[in-house]
Amino acid sequence: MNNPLIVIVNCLTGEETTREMTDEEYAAYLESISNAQPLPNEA
Amino acid sequence: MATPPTFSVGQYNTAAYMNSIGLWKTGSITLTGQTTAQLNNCFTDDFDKYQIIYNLRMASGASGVNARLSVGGTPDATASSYVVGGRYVGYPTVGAADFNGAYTEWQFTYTGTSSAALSIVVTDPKATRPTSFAGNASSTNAAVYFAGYHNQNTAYDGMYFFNTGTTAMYGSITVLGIRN
Repeated sequence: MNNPLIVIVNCLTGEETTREMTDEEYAAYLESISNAQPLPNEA
Repeated sequence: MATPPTFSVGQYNTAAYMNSIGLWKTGSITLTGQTTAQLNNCFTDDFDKYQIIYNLRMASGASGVNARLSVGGTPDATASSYVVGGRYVGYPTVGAADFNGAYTEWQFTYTGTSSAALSIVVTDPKATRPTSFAGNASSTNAAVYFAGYHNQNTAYDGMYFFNTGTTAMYGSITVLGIRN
């Protein structure tokens, strides 16, 4: 299964890149959303 | 380009005119199905205040849209460093409730398949002292206003945006430097 996409822009040059998250980035992302601030209806 | 030019007197748009422009775009990014977005070098030494505006929507469902400051392309996920207080107001999906706390990110809004509107002001992200922010956002799923700060004495040059639903996002994010 492919990892989700990340878009990265260098605002100094305007260079924009879209690629799959690395496994490390995806793991960090999943950890982030598991610990994210809850919404009022989730708290 | 992120660095504002200095115009010469005698140009069609005079130096005095151009240098009086209060908002200068320092960065933007367009999302066409990505789940996360990383803006690098959108905060520069030219400005100490920025306005960030976005219109983001999810491909399906609804998710929180969160953000972190970053430096060199690395988001700062220091625990309890993003201090925030605010209130969700009155939408049935989310309900009405105050919130406050210290988290590993800022949560800006809760967004579905219609574009959310967000506007925040960020101060001193490029300074080695805490960064403050204040703003509001709305979508068909929620309306929220909030303010807070990031408690690290670090200079940041960018921001990382991610949603809590592993969902593809569409729309754009624009960063404007505010001239003193």
